[in-house]
Amino acid sequence: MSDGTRDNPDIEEIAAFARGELDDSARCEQIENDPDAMELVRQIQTDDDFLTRLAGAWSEAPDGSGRGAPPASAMVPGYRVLGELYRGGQGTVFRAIQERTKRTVALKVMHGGGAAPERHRVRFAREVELIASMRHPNIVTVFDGGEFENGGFYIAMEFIRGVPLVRADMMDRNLNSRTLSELVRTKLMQMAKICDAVQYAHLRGIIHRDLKPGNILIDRDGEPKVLDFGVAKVLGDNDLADQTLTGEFVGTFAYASPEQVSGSNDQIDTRCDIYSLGVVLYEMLTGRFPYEINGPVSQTIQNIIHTEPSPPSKLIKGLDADLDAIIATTLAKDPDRRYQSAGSLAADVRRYLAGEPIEARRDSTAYLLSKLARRHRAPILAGLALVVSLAIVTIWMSLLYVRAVNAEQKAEAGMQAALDEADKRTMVLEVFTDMIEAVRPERGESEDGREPTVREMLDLAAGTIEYRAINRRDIVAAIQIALGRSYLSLGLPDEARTQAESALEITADFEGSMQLAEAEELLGWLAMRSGTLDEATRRFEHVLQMRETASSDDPASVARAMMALASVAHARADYQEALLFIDKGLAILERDDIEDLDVKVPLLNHRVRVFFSRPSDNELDRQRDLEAAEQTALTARELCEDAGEDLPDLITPLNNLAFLAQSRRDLEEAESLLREALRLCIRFYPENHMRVGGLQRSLGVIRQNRGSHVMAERDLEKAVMIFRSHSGRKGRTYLASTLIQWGVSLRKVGDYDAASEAAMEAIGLLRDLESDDQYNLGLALGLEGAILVDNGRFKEAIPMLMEAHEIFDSLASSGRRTEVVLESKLECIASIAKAHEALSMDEQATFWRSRLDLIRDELVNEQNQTQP
Amino acid sequence: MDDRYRELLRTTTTTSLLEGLFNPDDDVVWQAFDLRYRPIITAVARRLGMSAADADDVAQETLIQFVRDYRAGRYQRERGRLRGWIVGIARHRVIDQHRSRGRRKEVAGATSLERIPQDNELETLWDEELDRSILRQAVEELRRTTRTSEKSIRAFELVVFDRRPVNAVAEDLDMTPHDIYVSRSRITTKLREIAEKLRNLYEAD
Repeated sequence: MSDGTRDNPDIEEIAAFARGELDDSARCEQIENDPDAMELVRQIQTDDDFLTRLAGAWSEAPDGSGRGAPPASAMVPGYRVLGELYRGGQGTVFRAIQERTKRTVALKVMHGGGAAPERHRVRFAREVELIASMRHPNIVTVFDGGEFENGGFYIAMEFIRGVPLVRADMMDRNLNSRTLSELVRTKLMQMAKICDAVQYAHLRGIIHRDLKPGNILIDRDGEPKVLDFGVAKVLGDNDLADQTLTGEFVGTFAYASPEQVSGSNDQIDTRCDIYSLGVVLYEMLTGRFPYEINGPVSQTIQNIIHTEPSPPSKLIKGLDADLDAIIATTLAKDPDRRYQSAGSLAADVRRYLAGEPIEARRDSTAYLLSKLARRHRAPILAGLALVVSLAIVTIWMSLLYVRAVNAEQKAEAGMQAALDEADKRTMVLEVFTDMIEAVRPERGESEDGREPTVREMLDLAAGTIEYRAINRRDIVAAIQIALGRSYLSLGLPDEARTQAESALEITADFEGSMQLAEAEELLGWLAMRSGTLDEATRRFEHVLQMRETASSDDPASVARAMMALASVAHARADYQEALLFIDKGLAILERDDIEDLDVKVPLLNHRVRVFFSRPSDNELDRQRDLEAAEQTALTARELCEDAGEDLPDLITPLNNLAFLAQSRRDLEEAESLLREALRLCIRFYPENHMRVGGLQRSLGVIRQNRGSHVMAERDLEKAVMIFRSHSGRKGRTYLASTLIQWGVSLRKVGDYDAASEAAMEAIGLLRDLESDDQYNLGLALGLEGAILVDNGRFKEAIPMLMEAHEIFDSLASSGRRTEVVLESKLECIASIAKAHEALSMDEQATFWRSRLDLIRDELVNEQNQTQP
Repeated sequence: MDDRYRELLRTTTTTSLLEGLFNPDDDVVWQAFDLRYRPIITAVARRLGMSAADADDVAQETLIQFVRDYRAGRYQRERGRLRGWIVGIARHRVIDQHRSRGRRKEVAGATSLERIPQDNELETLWDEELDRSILRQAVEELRRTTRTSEKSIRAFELVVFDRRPVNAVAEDLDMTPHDIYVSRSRITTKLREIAEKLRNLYEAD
C-alpha cells in the first residue's frame, strides 16, 4: 500500500530520474520502488538512446559534416601528460596534470581510429556530464571529458594510488599469516562497499556494463574504488559484440551477463551489473571463474547463458551454504531471480558477516513456495462458480495435516484416528508428489518436448489410482475428490463428475463419513454450475446435516457447507437467506474461535458480494448496503493482513474495497488498492491469468478516469494481451470490452491508428460472438466514429455514429444502466452534430444540436435522482 | 518528387529493385535505386574529407559504374553483399578523386593529407551512414503517412530536433508535459517500426 505521505512522481520527475538528473533522493527511492514508474524510466531511457541517434542523423546535412580524416595523434588540450599508466583494448591511461587546477589526474584517452560518429559525440557529452556528477567514496570521481581534435575521446578522473582488485587479491594470497575466514571477511567487506558504489550509480540511472576486477582499484587504505562507470555505454552498445569478434574483449567477456552476451540490448538493465558483481565475487572467493571461459568464444557464450556454476563451497573448504546461496542468487541466469539491486546484495553480504540469516536463502524457499503456490493454489470461490485449481492439493494436504494434529490431540479419538489421518496424508501426498514430479522436465516432458498440461497430469493421476495398491476406500475417495475439484477448476465438469460420482459410490455406505460429505458437496457445486439449483440445495443440505452430526467435530467444514447453501440462495436471488447462511457460518467459526482463513475470508467475500448485488428500493438502503459491504471487506482485509504475509485471499477484499472507493469517487484510493491487488495477483497466478487481466483492466480504467493516460494505456494494453491468450467465449468477451477501453486511451494519447484498430477489432469480436452486449457494441462503434471525425473522415463516421446512437437509444428506453448509457449517447450525438456541421449539412446539424441539449437535461435529471 | 518513386522506395526490397535495373528503360526503378543509395555514398565520401562537389562526383560515378557492372552480370549475390560491391566501386572512385585533387594541389603547392581508405573502414562508415539515412527517411515517412496528430509531431520535433525544453514546448503548444512524453514515446515506437521496415528493405539484398 502506498505510504500516502507523498503523491506519485510526475512524468518530469520520472524523466529526470531516467536521465540521472533527479537530485531528490527520497524521490529517487520512491520511483525505484514503483514498478510502473520504473517501467516508464526504462521506456524513456530506450527512447532516449534511439532519439539521440535520430537527432544526430537529423542535425547533419545528408552530405555529411565535412570533417576530415584525423591526424595520427594529438594530446589533450588543457592537460600535461606525465607518463603512461596502462594501455588496454579500450584506450590508454596516462598520469597527467590538469593545468587549470594543477591537480594530478588519470587521463584516459580512447583511441579515435577514424572519424568520430556524431552519435558518439552527442552521447558522450551527455554521459560524461552524468558520470561527473557522481560523488561516492567508492567511486573514482570523473572531473571532465570530451573530444579532442583528432576525433578521440578523453576522460579525466581522480588519480588513485592503488592496484586493481585482481592484483590486490594475489597479494593477499601471499599473506599466509591470515586465516581463510579472515581473508573471506575482508573480501566480503570489500564486496559490500563495491555494491554500495554500484547502487549509488544505479540510483542515478547509470549502469556500469563492464564491471570486472580491472575496473575496481584497491587503494592504499584497502578501500575499493570503482572506475569507468558508463564508459562501456559511451563507447557504444555494440562494442561488446564487436570487441568479441576482434578478440580484444575476451578478458572482460568473462564478466558479462547472459542478457549481454545474447545481444538482447533492450533487456540490459541494472541487473546485468549485479551479475558481473557475482562473477567478481566468485573469482574473489574461489580464484576461478564460475564456468569455463578459455575455450572458443561461442562456447564461452554458451557457458554464460547455460552453465550453472559449481557452488563455491565445493571448491574451497570453509566456505558455507549461505555464501553459495548469495552467489547463486547473484549469478541467476534469469535477471528476475537475481538480487534486484546492488543494495540488496550488499545488505545480504553484511547480514552474512554479522551472522544473521540471509535473504537469499529465505528467498529461494519463498520463491519455490510462491512458484508452487502459483501452480497449485487458487481461491476456493469466485463468483457463484467454484473455482478450484489443481492447487487444491496444497490446501488439501494442509487440511489433512491440521486434522492429523487435531486428531492427535483429542483424547477420545485415540491413537488410531491420528494414525489413520497420518496414513491418509502420506498416501495422498504420494499420489500428488508423483503428479507434480511429472511436470519436472527431466521426467515429465512428453515426447514432442513440450511441457505436459495440467489436464494431462490430472488424467495421469486419475488413470493410476486404480493401479495403486490402495485398499483403503476412504483414501481413494479423497484422491478422487481432489482430482474432481481440479477438473472443475479447469472447466471440465464432466470429468469432475466422473470422479465425484465414483467417490460417492465407494463411500455411500459410510453415512456421515468425511469423504461422503466432500463427494456430495462437489456434486452439489456441479449441479449448481449446470443450473439445477434444487439438486444443489438437496445435496448441500445433506452435507450440512452430515457435518453437523459427525463424530469428529469440524466447524470449518460446517461453515463451508453454510457457504455452499448461501451460494445457492444467492443464485436464486434470495439475498436474505444467503446472508443468513453466511452469518451462521461466520458465527460457527466465531463460536469455536477458529481463524481458518481458507473458510472465513471466502465467507466474508461472499457477504460483500451479496450486499453488492442486492437491489434496493431507495438510496438510503443502498447506502446502508454499501456501508455493510465496506465493513465486511475491511474485516476480510484485516484478517489477511494479520496473517503477516502476502495471501492470495487478500486479492478479493482489496478488489472489493477498490470498487467501493470508486463508487465514492475516491479514485486515488481505488487506484492504490487495485495496484496492491494486482501485485498479489501477479505473485500468485500465472501472468496471463484472466484474473490478472481483469485487475489490470480495472486499474487502467481507474487511471483513465484520473487522467493518467500513459499509464492507463499501458495497463489496458497489458490486459488486452492477457485476454488475447484466452480463446474461450469469456476471454473474447473480456477482450472486446478491454479493447474498447484501450482504444479510448489510445485516442486520448493521439494514436488514432492504433485506437481505430482496437475499436474495429472490438466491433468484429462483438459481432462474431453475436453478443447481446449491445452497450459495448455501441461504445465501440461510437469510438470508431469519433476517431473518424477526429481525422476529418466525416462521411464514413456518420453511419457508425448513427448505429451507435440507435443502440444507446434503445438501451436508454429500456432503462438499463441509465446514467452511463446517457453519457455515451451524449458523446455520440455530439460527434454526429460535429460531423454534419463539418459537411455543411446545416439542417441536420441543427437537429442534432437540439437533441444534445435534450439529452443533457435528461442526464442532469438522472444524476439528481441517483445522488441525493 | 513523383509519388511513384516514393512508393517504390518505401515498399520494394533492394533485390527487386536490382532486377528492375536490368531493363535500361525503367527510369522509375533507376531513380528509386538512386534515391536509396546516392545519399549514403555521398555522405561516406564527405566523411572521408571530400568537398561537397567531389563527394557528389564520387556518388554519381559510383552509381553509374555500378549499374554498368550490374547489367554486365558482374554482380553476383553469392559472392558478397551489395554493400561490399558498392563500397568496392566507391573506393576506386575515391582514389581517382584523390589523384586528380592531388594533382591540383601539387599545382597549388599544397601537400595532400588524404589517405586511401581501406574497404573495411569504408564499410563501417557505410553502415553508419545507412543508419542515419534510414532514420531520416523514417522521419519523412512518419510525417507523410501517419495519422498521429499534427500537434504531437510538432511537439516531438521541437523537443527532439530543436532540443527545446519540454516545459517550454508544452506551454507554446498548449499541452501538458505529460502529453508530450506520451506522444514522444508513441512516436518513437512508430519511428522504430518504420526504421525497422526500411532496414529490411535494404537488407533483403
